[in-house]
Amino acid sequence: MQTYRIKQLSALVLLGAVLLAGCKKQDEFLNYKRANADVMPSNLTDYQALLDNNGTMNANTPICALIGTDNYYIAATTYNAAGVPSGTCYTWATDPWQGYSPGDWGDPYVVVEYANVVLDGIQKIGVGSDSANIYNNIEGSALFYRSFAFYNLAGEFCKPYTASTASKDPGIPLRQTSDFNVPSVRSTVQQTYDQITGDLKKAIPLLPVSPLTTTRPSKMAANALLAKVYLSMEQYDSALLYANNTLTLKSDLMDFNNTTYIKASANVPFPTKPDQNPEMIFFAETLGSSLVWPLGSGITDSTLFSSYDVNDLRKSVLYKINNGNPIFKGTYDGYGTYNFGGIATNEIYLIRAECNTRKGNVSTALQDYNLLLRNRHVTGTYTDLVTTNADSLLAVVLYERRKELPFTSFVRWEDLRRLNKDPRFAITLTRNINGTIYTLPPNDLNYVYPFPDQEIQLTSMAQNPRD
Amino acid sequence: MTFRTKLLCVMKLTAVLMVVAALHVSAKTVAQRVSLRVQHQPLEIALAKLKQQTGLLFIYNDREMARAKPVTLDVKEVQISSVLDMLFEDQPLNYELQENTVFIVIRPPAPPPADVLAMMAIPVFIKGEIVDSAGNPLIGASIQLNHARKYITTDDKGQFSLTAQTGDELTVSYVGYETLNMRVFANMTWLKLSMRPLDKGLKEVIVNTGYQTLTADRTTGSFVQVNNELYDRREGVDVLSKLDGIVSGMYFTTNGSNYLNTNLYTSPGNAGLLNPNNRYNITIRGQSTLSNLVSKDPLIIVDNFPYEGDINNLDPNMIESVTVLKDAAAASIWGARAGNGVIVLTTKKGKERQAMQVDFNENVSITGKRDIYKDRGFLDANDYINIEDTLFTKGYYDSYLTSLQYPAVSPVVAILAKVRAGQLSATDGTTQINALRNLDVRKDYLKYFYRQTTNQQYSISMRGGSNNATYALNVGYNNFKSELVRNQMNRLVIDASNEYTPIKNLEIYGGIIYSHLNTQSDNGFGWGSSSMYLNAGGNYALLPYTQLADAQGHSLPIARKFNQYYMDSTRKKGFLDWNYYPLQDLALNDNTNKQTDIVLNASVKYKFTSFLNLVLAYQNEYQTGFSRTYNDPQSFYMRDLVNSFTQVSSTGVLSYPVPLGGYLNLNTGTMSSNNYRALVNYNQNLGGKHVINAVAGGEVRQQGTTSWGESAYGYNDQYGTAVTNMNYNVSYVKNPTGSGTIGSPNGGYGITTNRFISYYSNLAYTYNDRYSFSLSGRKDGANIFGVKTNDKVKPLWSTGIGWKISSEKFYAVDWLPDLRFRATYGYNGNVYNGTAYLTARYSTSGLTGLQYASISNPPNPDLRWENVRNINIGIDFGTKSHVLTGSIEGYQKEGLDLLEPYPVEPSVGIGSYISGGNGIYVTKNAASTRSYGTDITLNSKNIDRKFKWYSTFIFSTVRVRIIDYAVPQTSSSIQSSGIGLKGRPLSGMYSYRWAGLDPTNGDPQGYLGGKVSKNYSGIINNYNPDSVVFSGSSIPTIYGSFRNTFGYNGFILSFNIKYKLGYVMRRPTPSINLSDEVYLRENAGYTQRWQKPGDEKFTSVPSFVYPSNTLREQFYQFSSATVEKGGMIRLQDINLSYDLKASWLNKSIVRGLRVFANVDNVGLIWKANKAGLDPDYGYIPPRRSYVFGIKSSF
Repeated sequence: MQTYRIKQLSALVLLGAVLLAGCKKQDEFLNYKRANADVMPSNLTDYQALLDNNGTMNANTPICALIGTDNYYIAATTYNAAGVPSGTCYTWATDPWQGYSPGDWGDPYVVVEYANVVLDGIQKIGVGSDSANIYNNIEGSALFYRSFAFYNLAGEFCKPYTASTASKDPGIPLRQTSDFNVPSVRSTVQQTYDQITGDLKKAIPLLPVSPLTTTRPSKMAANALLAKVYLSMEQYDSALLYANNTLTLKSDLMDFNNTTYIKASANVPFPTKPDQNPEMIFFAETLGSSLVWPLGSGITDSTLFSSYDVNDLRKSVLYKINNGNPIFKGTYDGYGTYNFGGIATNEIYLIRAECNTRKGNVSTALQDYNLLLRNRHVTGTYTDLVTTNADSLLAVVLYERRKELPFTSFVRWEDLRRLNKDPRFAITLTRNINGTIYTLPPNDLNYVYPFPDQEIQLTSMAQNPRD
Repeated sequence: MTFRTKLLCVMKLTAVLMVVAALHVSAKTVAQRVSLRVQHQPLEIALAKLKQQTGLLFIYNDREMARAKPVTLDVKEVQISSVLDMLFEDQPLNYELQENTVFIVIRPPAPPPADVLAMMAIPVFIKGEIVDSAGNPLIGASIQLNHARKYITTDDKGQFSLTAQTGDELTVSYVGYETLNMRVFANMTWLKLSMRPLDKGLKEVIVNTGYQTLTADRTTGSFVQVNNELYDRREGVDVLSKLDGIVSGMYFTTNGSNYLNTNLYTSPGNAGLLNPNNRYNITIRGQSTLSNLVSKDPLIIVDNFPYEGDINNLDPNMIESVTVLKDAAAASIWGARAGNGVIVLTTKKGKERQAMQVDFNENVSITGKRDIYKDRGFLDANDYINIEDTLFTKGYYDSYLTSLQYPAVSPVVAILAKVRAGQLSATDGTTQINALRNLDVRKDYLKYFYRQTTNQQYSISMRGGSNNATYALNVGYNNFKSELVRNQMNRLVIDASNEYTPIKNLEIYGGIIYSHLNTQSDNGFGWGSSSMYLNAGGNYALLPYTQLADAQGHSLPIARKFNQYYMDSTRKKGFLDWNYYPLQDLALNDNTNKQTDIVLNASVKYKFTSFLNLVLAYQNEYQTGFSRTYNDPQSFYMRDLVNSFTQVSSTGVLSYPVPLGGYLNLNTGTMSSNNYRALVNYNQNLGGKHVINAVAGGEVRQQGTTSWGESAYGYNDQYGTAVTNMNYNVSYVKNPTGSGTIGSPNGGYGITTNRFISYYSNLAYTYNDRYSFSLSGRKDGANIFGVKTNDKVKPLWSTGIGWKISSEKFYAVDWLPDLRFRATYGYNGNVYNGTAYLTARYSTSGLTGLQYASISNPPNPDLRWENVRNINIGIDFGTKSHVLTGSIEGYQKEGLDLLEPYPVEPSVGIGSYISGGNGIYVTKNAASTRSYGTDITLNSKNIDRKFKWYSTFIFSTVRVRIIDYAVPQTSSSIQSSGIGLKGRPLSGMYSYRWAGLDPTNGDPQGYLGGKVSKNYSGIINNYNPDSVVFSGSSIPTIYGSFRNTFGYNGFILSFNIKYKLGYVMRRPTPSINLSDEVYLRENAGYTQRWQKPGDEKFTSVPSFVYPSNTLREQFYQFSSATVEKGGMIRLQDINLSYDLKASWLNKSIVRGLRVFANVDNVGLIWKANKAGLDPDYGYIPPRRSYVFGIKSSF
């Protein structure tokens, strides 16, 4: 009996020792990463890698705004087959989303979330003396990406910027935290644009002059975006300033006669990688819609197409004739299949030309205008435009924006919203589908897309009115 | 090899085995009853008669037998041991029954008087085993020495050891059995005692929790024990499906018999890719979790440790018994992983002092072809062509025909286009189209893609043991030929175990399960797969007039990706043929998957005393999977890939960025788990009235996987060479449009590691064989959760009581001699497979060549473990002579802190990495559910004479309601997964209230603001009870089975009827958009569509429209008009077997031989719906299988 007790006791002591020893090591044992592929972002390399996710950061420019423009039309049969949201946006339907949450809204916010994750994350790391450049590039890039996304969202989901009403007009949620538990709230248009321009100005000194690759933001990209933003705000002095800054950093234009870059007759006429495109400032592509993407079902507006001169190389570089109809094919986005949604020098030249024209600097404006057009025409066929009339030049330059950037991002949509405020340029858009006429008058409520139903239902924000 | 020659081989193999077996004559224990009538006849004659009836072997010396006295006896149906006792009562001889052998020896002289004995007493070390009449060990039987107050109890194998002195008296007692007394004699070193039941107690049932084996009578929880006989009643390819229809409370969401067919081997790439959180489609007592990130699978235990590998690696013939743990008290010992119940599988083991027993099973099952003609998800050629014609007229195809992407169009559309373009006369066009109207692709499907399924199973089990060692070797081989031509699986499983007692009180156990699974899945053309679809320009369709082969059997191309014009024009430039030939691809496909799994199990048990022992156990499982996919140069995949990248120079010379040749893709994955366990067992019977079974221990587990892959372009299968100097960073202009880089080969190496630490203890105490009490606790930690350690470790506990009312003195219900009540309360957990941290994954950008990271999980520090609270109340009972036995249980299960997909506004920007259905979701512990259910099992012996009729009735109900659910309902909630409102069933089905068809144009109508409305947008967006009706639970609330077994003279006929009641389902409906009917969802409901006023009286299928109206379609699809009742009663199987009588076999070495035939999936007896739907299978009925087999033992 006695021996039993000793054995019993020793067994319990042994087991207890094993368990106790285990307890101490327990935390260590359990603090182990579950999957090796899972990185818990912790250093600057990780955060830079998040921003280098070009499939997310450079591929989420909204598309529905472009769908609503007048640069093209579609056959009634195509319309019948188009569905939501391409078809509904084509006719500016009151409820274009029909219960779905469109990528146009959600995807730019993914860019915002990435940028916020990075901004929250690097703050915890802090600037090290040896890594200041890297740190600054990451911070500047994150600010740029977030501003780019906010700008894209504002163009589709806010009223166009009007200084007198901007502080009352509802803006977009300006999310600045990565925590999904913080609910979204609507800002004002003024706050939205202040955020964008403020962040971009903060980013400029942080960013490098020339980026490693054009999917990364740079000083020129931030300046270029500011030029675009101020143009859309009708603040032409600022737009001119930042267009100038951009073109000081990069002024390249492609000569469309140069076969190194341009394969005019090919389905993909531009270089198949953005870095090979000399005009590229910041590469991004739009979301996809077969109505407007290259070689899609959209037929280019005949007035627009016929406005190109016979010697204008854009006629063959940007378009292909299919069954007698001009179909858009030329996008800087030679890499993928969607539309170019970033910024290139051609747009900045046109912004500078427009701003100078508006300021009355006609000859300076003409320099930019003629330089661009010379690069677009068959060598030796272009005669420089000569004028002293700023008003007539403004109309020409504005029309040139349509011709140069017909399916780039939502440039045309932004122009319609901005220019409709000026009675000289205000137009009513119409769609004719088998005799059913849809119209979009200037400054119509339907120039502002509604928020998705889910956004409204889950946050009780005010919805954009539509008619 | 044909089936017949295979069978011959097997028969030869059987013969060889018989010879082998002859060297080890023995057989399993039999608890037989015999009848004997002898009138003053020699003992030898009487024994010969017994031998004839029982197959027992009598070993004796003729000389000694000659001294026997003649015997007279007349008994009927008496236990063999009793008969032997009577025969030897006055003989100078005695007998010793060991297993199936009776040794006859000279009776030793009568023992001397006690006082003399005491003087000459010598110590004897006795080891022994206490079994019931069927040979099952009796756990916890008490052995008392010299009427002392000290008892020892038998262990979990029914064994004991003690030291006594010659002349001591042993008393062996066990509840419900006759007490035995005997004196210790000198050579009493091994004592095997068989106890006779008093025919009062319930049948002895041993349950195995994976940590302990317990007598059911002393447990408080809800266990279901499936013994070998029941488990083997029906044949099956995998180990789990055989449980379908025999365990109360266990529900197979897909019909169990079809487990392999539905989940594996039907299409390539499917194998091994089952949802890791829902691998088995089994729920035990309803679903207790909501999130897709939480495992819904019960925990599977094989030989005391969790089994992590592919369950298909196990062979059903190696399983001895199954215990299902249902409530908290039963399962809480498994802690955090037990919330979905636990299934404990025990493989066949050897027994000590058992001569080798060999069991050999073989069976063949044959299953007919799938009846795809019954599928209503199909439109016949005539209707299909009419729709295409209509769409053509409306210009639907215009953009396709002019598109610069050159999408393929169907042959009909191509003909119509030619006619319109004037390239073909209208008459010729009509003739050509009419010729297509009579074709039916289903004929070709059945001819070229389908066949009969055959499954062959062979297994051998050899078991035995000596004084201090046991061994078992189980070998199983399975050869499964899927219904799809060229798809097959074969599996070899070897399971060996040894137990050895090298020194007193020390037991060493070692076991290994090796399995090798070979899967070939070349045929991806199963009915319903998209491999045969036109797949171009956003149109997907199975064209019903597709032909696979011409009259000579040559493979024909079908419309697939590009139109004929484009394919011809590229061919002229020298491109590869761009046509798609399904039959050619079928012959060229090469997808193999090999899986090897090894489970090593080792344990050491040291007994400090008879009641206290320590077990140290280790288990290692290592599984490797290897898959090979080879795309032949002639396959469509390869030609398409090469062509799309082919570059044409200005002089027309072709170059091939994707090299000509094949493409090889290899993937390897390993899974390993290591378990270390230390366990103390305490089993003691104190003073006869107190019985304690306790266990306490801890364990550490690490489970990890690795995976990597390789692929090679330009692969030449003959020489094994590949093109390796490719540049994946170049962006090429592709044909016909766009540009892109060539997909770079796999190079990743993935590792996952899951770690767990657990501490647990379980106490079962029984007083006076009447009152039982249990208490169990477990603490689990894992490297899953939370930022704080507190959240990583989760304590769970349970407690329970049992009361054997029928043992009370006041109990006097004669007709119900057995009545026991039990109740439990406690918690289990569920395991979440996500993480609380912000995590990202690295990849390399094809555009920039830079390493980039994607967020895979947003930070979520508030995550906690899910809890499941269980309350279980049960009654076990047995009527007199056990005519009716059974148990009735009621339970309540509460899922607390359940993770739910919690919708957030899209602007939080996490849409791309967590999305579920229509909206963006994050995971939060926000929901709770409450389930109520009952499980009833009734066994009755309706007739128990020479002709026997036994019945088992299993009846389960379960209702799971949502108590807390934070998800705000949005406009489209009704259309998503079936999660609904507080107070309503989980998996409830909601519908838009139906108001019939508009008699003027066949539009579907609903209600809005109490009025009949066609404002579909309004109805869908106005989430209110006025527009919406609750249709019922979408999972059965009542289910079970009714099994009947008839026996006569060795014949056993049994059939099992299963039923599921009290639920609804949605009938597959046509899309009421004309273009979707042909390009999204073909459905024969089209033929019942509203066409003219008056039709609304006969049909609920609205008129079809073009252009599409999405909201109109959504309204109809989710309206109450498409809801069907789900109830059904199915005759699942019929089983006929015949046991060759031992007497017929007495000359042979075969101890038992059973032949059987089984029909599975016999058919529906009744179904609630009138739509022709089998609720489990849809329109295509399950295929009936026929199984034939032999089970023999030597």
